[in-house]
Amino acid sequence: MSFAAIINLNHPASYVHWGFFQMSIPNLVVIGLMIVVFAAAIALPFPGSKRKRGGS
Amino acid sequence: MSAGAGAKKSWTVRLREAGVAAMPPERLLPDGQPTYMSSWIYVFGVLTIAALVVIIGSGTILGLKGPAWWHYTGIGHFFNSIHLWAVEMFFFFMVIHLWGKFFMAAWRGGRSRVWMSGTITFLVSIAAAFTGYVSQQNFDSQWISTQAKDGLNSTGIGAFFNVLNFGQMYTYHVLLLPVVVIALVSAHILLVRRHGIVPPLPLPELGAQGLAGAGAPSGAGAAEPAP
Repeated sequence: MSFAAIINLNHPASYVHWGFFQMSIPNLVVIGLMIVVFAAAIALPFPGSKRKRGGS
Repeated sequence: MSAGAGAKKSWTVRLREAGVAAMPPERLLPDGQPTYMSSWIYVFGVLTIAALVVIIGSGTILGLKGPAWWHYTGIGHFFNSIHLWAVEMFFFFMVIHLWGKFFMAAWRGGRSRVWMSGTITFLVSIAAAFTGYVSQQNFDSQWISTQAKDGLNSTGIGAFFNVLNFGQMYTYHVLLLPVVVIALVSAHILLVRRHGIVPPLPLPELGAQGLAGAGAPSGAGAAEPAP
């Protein structure tokens, strides 16, 4: 039994070329996701946290 | 037989006392954590460790069952994929952990060994992952190893680290490098517990005095670096 992947991965990866820069789309997607998660980890409030500014 | 008051202490007693002095139980397993840890950026270290646990568990099963199992059976494919994606998560979380610690200058307050142990763990983990890619026993591993051999041989390391030698790469992958990674991660965690979680950088408008009020640690001495 086989299941079709949501995205067909059964082929060589596509690459982007910007001058000297060359990277596969999957690697670029992972790096983009890491940046998004990093930004979200800083921006999103942590459950149960209370920000006190200027309080004693 | 117990030693008298003036008697010379045995090495076991000296080792125990040195261990407790370096790592008191309340510092090793604290009651609470500093309030500034109430941020998502502080969870990526433990997420990395969780991924490492999955890597070791799935890798142990793969090692016990062997290449024919992970290539030709459905459950083998499943554990092979678990192992691969746990590695992906491991590096994903570790890099975000690294970014977070870099931008908060986590080497402050006598924490240089914490930073360096993490950095070395990252580098050794790359080698551990690489030896895994060349141990897959498929065309992918053949391609990677034949592409890598020339680069490695040009450095002279090929005489000791031969990527075309499956037995050697597999030993590196399932024994030598995991032992180093686990030892480094253990040392990293103990150093974090010894020195405490690094506090955020002080805000310019608050200064160090304001930081003490806005994000004072709730754990006993949790943010204070050990002498």
